[in-house]
Amino acid sequence: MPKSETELQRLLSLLPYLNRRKGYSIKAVAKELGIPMPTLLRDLDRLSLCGVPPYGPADLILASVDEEGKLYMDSAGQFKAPLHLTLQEALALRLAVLPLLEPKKSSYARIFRSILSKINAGLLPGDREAVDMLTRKMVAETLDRSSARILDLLRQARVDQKTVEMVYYIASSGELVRRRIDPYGFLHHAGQWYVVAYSHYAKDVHNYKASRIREIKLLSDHYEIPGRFDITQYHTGLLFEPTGQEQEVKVWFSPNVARWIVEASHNAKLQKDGSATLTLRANRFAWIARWVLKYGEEAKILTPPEAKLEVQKIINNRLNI
Amino acid sequence: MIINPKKEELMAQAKTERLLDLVALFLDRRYPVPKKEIRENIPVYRGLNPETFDRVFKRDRNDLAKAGVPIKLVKLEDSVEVTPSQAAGYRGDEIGYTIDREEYFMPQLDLEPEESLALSLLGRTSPRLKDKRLATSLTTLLQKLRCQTPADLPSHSELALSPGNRPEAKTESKNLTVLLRALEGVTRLECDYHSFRNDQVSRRQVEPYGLLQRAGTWYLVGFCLIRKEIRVFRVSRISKLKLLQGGKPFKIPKDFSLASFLGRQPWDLALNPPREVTLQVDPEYHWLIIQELGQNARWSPDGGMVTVPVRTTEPFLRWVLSQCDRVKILKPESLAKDLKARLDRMAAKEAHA
Repeated sequence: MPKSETELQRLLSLLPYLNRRKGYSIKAVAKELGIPMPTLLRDLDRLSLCGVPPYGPADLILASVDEEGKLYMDSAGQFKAPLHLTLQEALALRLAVLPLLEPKKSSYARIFRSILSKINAGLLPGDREAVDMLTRKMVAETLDRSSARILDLLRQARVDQKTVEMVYYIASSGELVRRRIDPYGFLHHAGQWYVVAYSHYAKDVHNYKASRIREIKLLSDHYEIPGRFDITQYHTGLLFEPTGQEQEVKVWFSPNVARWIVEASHNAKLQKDGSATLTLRANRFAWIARWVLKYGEEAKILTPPEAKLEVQKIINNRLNI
Repeated sequence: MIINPKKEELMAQAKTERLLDLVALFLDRRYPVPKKEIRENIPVYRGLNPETFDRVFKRDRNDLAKAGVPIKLVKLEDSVEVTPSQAAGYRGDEIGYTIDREEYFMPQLDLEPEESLALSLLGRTSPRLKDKRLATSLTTLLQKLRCQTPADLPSHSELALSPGNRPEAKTESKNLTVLLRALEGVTRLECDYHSFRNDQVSRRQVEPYGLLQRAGTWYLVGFCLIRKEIRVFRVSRISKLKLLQGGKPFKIPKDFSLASFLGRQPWDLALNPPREVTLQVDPEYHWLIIQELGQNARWSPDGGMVTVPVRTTEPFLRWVLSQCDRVKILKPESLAKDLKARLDRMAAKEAHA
């Protein structure tokens, strides 16, 4: 799409929004929009160049910031509401939230299903038909077998700010442990739900895969979420949380399987002979050992010795040896 | 001609403002605006000769339509709407231009506070969509919805989506936009596909049936006209994708079900009849194995044994390898032997190393 079209769409949706934020602090507006302040100020300048031709004094859009740093808007009454939603917008939202529609009975799934159906109802008839048709042709599987009950209990705990006691499976070591956590928020990554919570045991914020929570109980202890905690900042795209005691783990993959590894990880390097080497950091190795075992004779751990030992341990403990 | 990029930007900017002014004009006037009035009111138009004005105004109308602004052409004498080709049969001063307000404005969607909150959280998460066009659409959508959202939503965020930073994500998003068009138009497509199983790239023609997302990765399900069967393609392994316009429309078979591809494990995805494999499971890990085997596994009442439908042996054997201290193959015997041989070889190699 040419720049002027996307720009036009942006400004047409900005105008009615700014009309509703008259008198608000400009800083709060920029924060809500998620755009840098200079961009917003430039937009205000541009809007002030527009208006209803032939531009009588009352017909020019006035958009500025007053001495107190508050948004001043006038004469943009024609733009009382934004332009209708487009097919492209409805599809973009559907693509983004599709994985959140599972597990079906969870409250997040219910909320996003309702949003999608309201958006659909707001589309022009032709676009609505197209979305309905495409909806039947798009499905998502989250692979998340955590129950809606566990997810909702965690969410309830966050709403009420009540500590939770859970039995959790630590995949990296293969142990089941009992932990008390204060849920701060939720992450969705690669088809799985994670709860981000303060651990009373580790005295720090960690993430826990919801499907690895075996049992859960709401306690009556109240907690506060620190004001500076921001889940969008917490999450950097990697769910791995270094403790500083990690070692480098190097895994070799044969040319037969190397392409799968390189496709899925930025940390994998393709070698000249077609094999691949993956470098990870970890301080416990049970999870890596099981994952490497999945590749049978096509993969092996190069370092450290402790991780290699872990593979041996699983093989030696095989049932019915 | 070399255009100074700065100048180009200024021209685009001037154009955006002109288009915005046109929208303001049409929304302000409660009557269809004749061309003459439009020309007199927009400064840039005033400076143009009649032919150039006609051309520029037509282009501007097209751009507005592409941005979704519903401009209607109306006969001034009786206010009856006409198509652009019908309008060509009238003199310029017999036609007026207007915006259909009902179509223009987004209706009130009546989002509940918790729905608005969920959407605002989505907006603050790093954009998941790597394709620029989809990402822009998501931004403008959220921007429009904010017009109906209370200003005092809690700033504490509760939910975030991961940005899905896999090396394949960019190609995937690019292909997705094209695939959506193919699905919408029920259009055949042609592409190169890199089959990872045999590491070969080959040209395919596919009748697209649907899209499937699994663990954050998109797959296309469709009828492969080369292989003559329904196949599942990983979207990121598709390249040189284009739609085959103009062919005969195809029909998706009535008994095709996209949902039937869900809930299947990697060893259960092919279409050949399954063979049943029975496993013994360490009771201590029953709860974990139940998650790993998926919904098609049949468990014994005491949870000590499970029968799994296996259509592709290799991925299943690999999974058993990773859990060999928790599960054991009971039947078929040949598979149990195969597994034992592999484990023996691996154990010998480990011991040797």
